[in-house]
Amino acid sequence: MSNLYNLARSGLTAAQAGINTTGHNVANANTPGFSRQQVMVSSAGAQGGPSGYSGMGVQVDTVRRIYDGFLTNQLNQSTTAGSALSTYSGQMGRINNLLADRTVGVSPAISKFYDGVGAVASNPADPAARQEMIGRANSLVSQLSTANQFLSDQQQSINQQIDTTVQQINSFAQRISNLNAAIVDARASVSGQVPNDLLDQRDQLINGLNKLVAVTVIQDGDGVNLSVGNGQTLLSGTRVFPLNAVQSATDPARTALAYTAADGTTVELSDTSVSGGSLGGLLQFRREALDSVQNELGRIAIGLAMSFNEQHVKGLDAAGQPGQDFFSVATPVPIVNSDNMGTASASFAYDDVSRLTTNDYQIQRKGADYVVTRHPEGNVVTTVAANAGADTELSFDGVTVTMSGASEDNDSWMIQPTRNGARDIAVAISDPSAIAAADLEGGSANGRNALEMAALQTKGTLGNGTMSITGAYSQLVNGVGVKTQAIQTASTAQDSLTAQSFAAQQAVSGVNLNEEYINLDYYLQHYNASARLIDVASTMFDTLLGLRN
Amino acid sequence: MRVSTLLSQQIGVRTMASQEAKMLHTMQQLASGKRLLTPADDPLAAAQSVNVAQTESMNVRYGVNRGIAEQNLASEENVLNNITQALQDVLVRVIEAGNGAYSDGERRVLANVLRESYENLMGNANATDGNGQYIFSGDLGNVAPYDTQTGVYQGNSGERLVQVAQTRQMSSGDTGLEVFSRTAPGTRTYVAEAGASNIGTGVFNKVEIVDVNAAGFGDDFSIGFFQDPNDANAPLQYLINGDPATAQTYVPGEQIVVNGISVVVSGSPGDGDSFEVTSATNLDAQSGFSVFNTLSDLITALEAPTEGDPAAMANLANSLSTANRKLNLHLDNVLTVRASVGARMNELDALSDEGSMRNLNYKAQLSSLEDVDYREASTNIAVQQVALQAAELAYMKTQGLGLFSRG
Repeated sequence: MSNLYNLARSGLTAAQAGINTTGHNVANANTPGFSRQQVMVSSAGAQGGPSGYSGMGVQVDTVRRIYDGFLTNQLNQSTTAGSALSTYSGQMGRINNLLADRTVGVSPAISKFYDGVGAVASNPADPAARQEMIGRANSLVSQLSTANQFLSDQQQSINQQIDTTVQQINSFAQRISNLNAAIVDARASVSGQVPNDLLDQRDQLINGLNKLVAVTVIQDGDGVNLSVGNGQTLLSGTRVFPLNAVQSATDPARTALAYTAADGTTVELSDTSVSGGSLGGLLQFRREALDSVQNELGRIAIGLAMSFNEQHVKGLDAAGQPGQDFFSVATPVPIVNSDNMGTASASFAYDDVSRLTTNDYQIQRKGADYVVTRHPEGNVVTTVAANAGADTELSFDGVTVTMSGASEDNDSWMIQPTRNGARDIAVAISDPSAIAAADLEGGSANGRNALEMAALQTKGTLGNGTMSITGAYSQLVNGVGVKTQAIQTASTAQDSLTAQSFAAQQAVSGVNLNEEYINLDYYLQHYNASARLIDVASTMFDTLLGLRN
Repeated sequence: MRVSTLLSQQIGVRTMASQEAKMLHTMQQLASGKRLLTPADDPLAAAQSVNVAQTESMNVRYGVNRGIAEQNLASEENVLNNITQALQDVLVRVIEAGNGAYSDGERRVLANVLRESYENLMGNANATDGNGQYIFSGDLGNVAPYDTQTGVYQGNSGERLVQVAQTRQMSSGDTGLEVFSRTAPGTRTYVAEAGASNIGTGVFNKVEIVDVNAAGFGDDFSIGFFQDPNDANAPLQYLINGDPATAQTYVPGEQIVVNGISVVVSGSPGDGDSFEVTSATNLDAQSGFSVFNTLSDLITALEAPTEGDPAAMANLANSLSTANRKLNLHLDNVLTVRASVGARMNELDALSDEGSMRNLNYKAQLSSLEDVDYREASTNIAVQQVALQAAELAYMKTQGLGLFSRG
């Protein structure tokens, strides 16, 4: 009879454990990262006697989480790729929107400017037409610099976002490190049992970290080790190796990633060394899209200004004086790498506007040579032997850089021929009579030089004479549109992959409330039945006691 | 497959969000009337529309330019009309002056009338346009083309070119040189002029082309008369271009044919008298050919006293002949310039028609690149609405099925 009570007790305990676990599942039905749990029970065995083995009831072995490491890993990979693409797409969308309305902004300003030049050509003696042309030139310059400012703001914003994201990554690494410690403790304190909820939390944090940057997870006993990019360790056991956001040595205008080496020095990481997550998306957007859009805008500004100046100085102004530069453009300053050991300096000059590209370049001293490479791809453009004790001229892609002074091996300079073109363009003339509308014959009714200047609107000024200014702008619009479209499509596709990975992971680990309802019912019946056993045992006991009466 | 409750909720949310995003896009298209909301919607069309918009704006500029050219040409035509009338008026006076019955006094009255005409022509030659720019001074718009005292041209030969179409630059005016100091291109006539110091009574007439194939046709020449200094009774002889080999005896009223041109001289030229015969094609500003020189020579001739002086009368007759011929050349030239102005205005009209058509074309192109097709978009939004409603319904049904919600 006491056995019957024991059987009832074990049944009640197992049913209770089942109800508790089901309750835990129901309570966490909406908890992100929660894996449903299941009570594992087994028969408690039997006691042998002369009349055979008599069962001893049920025992609760453990509570396990329903989990598949492969699916979780797949979800992490999808998440990090999706997060990179959605960040890229969001940033790209801003440029796409900047160029959305063709009736405002740079392209109508270009048309209106040349229209103003045409008006002066048709009526060179009309001071109002001349004033209007200068007004339209100013408006064009302001549209260019507004668009450029928008892109510069985006560069700034990316710098800040890199900084913030790096802090978040370090914070995630720290929290994962804390969980590593907690899980080891938990395993040690309850031998043989798994702290399911702590494991879920750690997996959820790793997923969150993957939204920021792609991490490689290596299981190490009960803990995990994390690395980013090309194996840069972020977390080893409980020790965090934080990433840093630093001012880049090659270009102080931008924030780059770095890590602290064992000897305490800060080592800059190349932008291509990490991928995935919002950080990877930001870096990819910056090097693939933002820089080239800003360079293209700068090239348009420089091409327009210099081709116009070239024609303007061929004419005579209203006072019969030779034309001066109509626009002013700044000469880019080569950026000296802050790690340079030598004292050499680089000076920049434009050679041939039509050959300008939208690339940046890096000049590096390598042995006896200066090597010019496209940045950031690293393709070699030209290699020139350094002149000992004299200047070395490096001519490439429509520019000339003159190196003077002594350089040391691996010294480098960053050249951005067009980056700030749209920022630095200005109208150099404010007096309408200084417009050189006449050709060398002079005369107030002579607008022949203005005719030539107006004709520049369709002339192949850029791309080795293949592209007009507006042509270059339309190419920019097309390029941004194509890139945005491609990234949006990739992002949508990746989202659906992520959704599939999530569905697959949820199919295994997710809580289904209907299932839990049924389990609850099942455990309740189990509980009721076990309770009924006590009732039966009690009745049996009473029956026996009642025999004496 | 197991479906977690969280997943079915998220799928519901994602489906609805995606349907709503599509609907919003169509709504923006309908509200703005634009199919292209950003370059990413159709990158190629976005780039093309930038280019077409530029071409359209250039076409509009050419239209404005045509307006300017038209206005300039209309002002010029107005002035040329005045000049034509003044020259016709002067020609009437020249014929009048040829009336042998006129006295010196009557001719002086005529000379005064012609002075008025001179002033009138000068005023028209120095006319300005709406911007205060002189019409006929070439590039030098703020320099009066003619010195009112000397009648000397002060402008230059610069053309005022206006871009009236993508590939057409049109001169929106003509210089004084072209209007007042030129014979009409293609003119094949000759002008004879008596030497300023002629002392005899020789009078030329009937300067005519007799043989266009003759050697030297088109060259200017002079006929010089001389009396043998050793024999006062010898017949008067003449030389062509001073060449002794050409010496001929002068017979009054007989044709003298040189270079295919025949000239008849009558009367008695004096020893050393000469006549210059100039091809019209050689008459230009450099040779002193201008309306104003012609007129002032005419006035000088009319003011010279002739009564009782046969030599002076011969000079007057010669001057009137020369003036008549030159004025006719001036008039022909002005009419030619007017015809050219008219032709240019016609061309502008034709270009304007073409320009308007192009403008419509560009607008149509831009519209097909950028504008929304309302029928398509309306259909789309109806379909999207159904899809969204279906997604909402599906979500509500699924969520309502939970066992927990059965109480």
